[in-house]
Amino acid sequence: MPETETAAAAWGVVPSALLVMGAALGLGWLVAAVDRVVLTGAGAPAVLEPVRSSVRLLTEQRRTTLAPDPLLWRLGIAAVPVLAVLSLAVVPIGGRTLWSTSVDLVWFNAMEALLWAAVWLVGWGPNAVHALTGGYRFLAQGLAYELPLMFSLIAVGVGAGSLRTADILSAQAGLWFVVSMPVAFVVFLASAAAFAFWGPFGAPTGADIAGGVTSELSGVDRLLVEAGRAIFLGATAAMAVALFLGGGSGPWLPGPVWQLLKTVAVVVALVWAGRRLPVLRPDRVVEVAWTVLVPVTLVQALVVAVLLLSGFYAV
Amino acid sequence: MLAVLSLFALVGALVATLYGASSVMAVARRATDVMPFESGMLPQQHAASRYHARWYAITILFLAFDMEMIFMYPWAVVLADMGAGAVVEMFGFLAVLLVGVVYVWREGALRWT
Amino acid sequence: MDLSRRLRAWALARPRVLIVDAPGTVELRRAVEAELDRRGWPLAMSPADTDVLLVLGLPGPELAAAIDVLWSQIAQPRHRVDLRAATDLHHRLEETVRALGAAAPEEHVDGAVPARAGAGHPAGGMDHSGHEGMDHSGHEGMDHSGMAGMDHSGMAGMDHSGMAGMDHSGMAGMDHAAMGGGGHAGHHMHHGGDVAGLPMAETAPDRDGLALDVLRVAIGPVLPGWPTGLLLRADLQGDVLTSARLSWVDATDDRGSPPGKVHPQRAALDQLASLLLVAGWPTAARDARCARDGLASTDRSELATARRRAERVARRVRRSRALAWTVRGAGHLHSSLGRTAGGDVLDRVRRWCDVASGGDVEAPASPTSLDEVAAVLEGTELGTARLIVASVALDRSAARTAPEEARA
Repeated sequence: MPETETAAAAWGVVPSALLVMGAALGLGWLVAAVDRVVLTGAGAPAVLEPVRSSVRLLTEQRRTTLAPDPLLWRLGIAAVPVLAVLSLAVVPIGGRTLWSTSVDLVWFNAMEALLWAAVWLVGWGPNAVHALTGGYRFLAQGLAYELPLMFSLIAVGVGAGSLRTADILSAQAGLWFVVSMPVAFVVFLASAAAFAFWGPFGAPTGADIAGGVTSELSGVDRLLVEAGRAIFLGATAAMAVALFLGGGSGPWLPGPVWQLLKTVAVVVALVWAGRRLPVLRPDRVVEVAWTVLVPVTLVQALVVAVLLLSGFYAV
Repeated sequence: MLAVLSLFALVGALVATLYGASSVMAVARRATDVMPFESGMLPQQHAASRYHARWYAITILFLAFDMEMIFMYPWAVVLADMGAGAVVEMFGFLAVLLVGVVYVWREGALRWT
Repeated sequence: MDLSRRLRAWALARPRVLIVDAPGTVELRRAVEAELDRRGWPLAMSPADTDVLLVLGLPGPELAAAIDVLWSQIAQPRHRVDLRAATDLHHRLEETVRALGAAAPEEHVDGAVPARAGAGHPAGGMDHSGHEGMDHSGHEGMDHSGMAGMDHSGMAGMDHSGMAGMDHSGMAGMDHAAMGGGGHAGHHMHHGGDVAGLPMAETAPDRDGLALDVLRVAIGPVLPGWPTGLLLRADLQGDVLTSARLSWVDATDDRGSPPGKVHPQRAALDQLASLLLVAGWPTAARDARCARDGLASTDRSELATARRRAERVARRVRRSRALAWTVRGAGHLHSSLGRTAGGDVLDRVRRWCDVASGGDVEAPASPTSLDEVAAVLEGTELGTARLIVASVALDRSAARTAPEEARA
């Protein structure tokens, strides 16, 4: 069903890659700014703070520790933002994705799964106890969120009968998927916080382990990791809009504006809700994830499958 | 493919630019060489030890489900054509795996602290 | 390069601050935290995250050594401020921003000599932390092995590893200061496994009896949300603490809580603020600090606002199911002091909330000895251990009434 061509085909490869890049930076800034406003309660002036912090980190000296693993450490640091931006390749921007394959959802899932390695490496690299603990906490947390996340992606794929983002968007022309898949929607957003190790799932960078994986990072290294997780959170919010909230569909306003408004709304809601909770410790989350979230998301997928067979989704 | 490769090149260039910008803008160019932070004390041993991950049993369980996902993605695409039989088969298979989860849970492997 | 200097000054206008409070500076710390919150300066999590090291009061020799280590771990630009009183706080912080923005690179850090042990300071500081490391870990290692032998009499090899740890860490600390980090390559001590002047982790049986790596670590004396000066020495197996031992640095320093009346509601809010920070709930922690600072006011309307705010934050924390779910069941203290000090972390959190909301209840009593707390830390996960410590009101007199065996 290739009725929508990709952004690369429509607007040229370089301009659309630049557009995605710009969207990534914009989303990262949005997440960081909203987070900052919620954290400090400072109001509007705080929106400049992410820019200020970035410049501050650029002027700050970098650090190395005693007997680190420099190669793997730097690799992990650089991988966090790179993976975040690459995951945006299949997120529609202005109604088009940069890249369109028959397995867009798998690509998004794969970028996030590679993050396991990246974050663990950031924790392993500096040869420091707090960082190492944070890295392993992320893996434990990964065991909890990954399967529920996959099952919610599957529910979307089943509903649309395709793993292509463009098809998923057109499948929601009649009814947004959030209506028939509320559980998948919530789980998807919670997983976003989990793989961006932010808010209630911030144990890998917890204050109880002095910042965990980020505890030995200064200067541009810290900037890359912090930017990467903010972009990931923003990218997932944008993806949630495409997968569950009908993307750019809406009355009166043009599609891209709707999409932007919905994305901002999802980011604000996610950050606001996330900061109302304390950190949920991975060791307790894992049990709930396996005994509650895995069955619940499976039931969600089953419901979607039955609805599909009964002709609920007009594909 | 070209599109995603160019995006990769672009973000790689951005990371390189940031490192370049940092080495121009930073107060001190060379990274400072420090002992790892151990809350004010000097570390007594290298932290990079064999970490005792007590949740290793869960990783096995996870792998079983992760392999299952390889089947589930294509299944999602062809479900409409295959009909009810495919749903029964897939969820039957998942039910078998869930029995494993129940067993692991009952054994207490999901709780390690 | 006027532009780049102005850019840097702008970027550093909200620096991240690491506070080290020496004993007897409770009010000063609260005043500083209030001012930082007002300015929107974030609190740093670790030296890597720090621009300004804020030392409050007069640290004793051991804490001063720790501060030297921390200072050496902070990347440039950095600035250290020693504050004795809150009187010129505003002025000092303004000055700090100016100094940070104008900071020129410190040459001796840029050279070949790594900032291993207090390179920010000339030789004096370096020696200092070197000795510190040696003395300390030497002693600790020694009595650790004694203790291990006693507690786990069944486990042969424990003793030995304890001893090895002592030698190693003693030597490592010394050798770093002495060499100044010059050339650690080719350096070899009589123990085989040294890499870059530090030994690798040892092996010891875990709780299932399997031989696995254990890492000797120090938690404290300076961490976010941690009682400054408290030192937890333990073995870490994965993220599980064993052989936990608590002590105060500068144990002879008895400037604990200052004489005079303690405002129980403010103290409870203070305790909650650091506990919520450790629990990863920064917005609630900020509210608790804000209420605490408002309660010090003499203005009546401000006081009323602060009371309402205190009630609100206490209610929010008390009712939080997520917090209850994460902390429940951890850190059961069977105190001789009875119900007020006993119970798990959740019981104590709720009790702190009752006090914080202005209720006429008794605050959780301080544990009489650090050993009592150390005993519940045994076998807990690192994050749980932090919550347990944050949930009890530890004061420095606890160490004196029941001194740990090594110092007795």
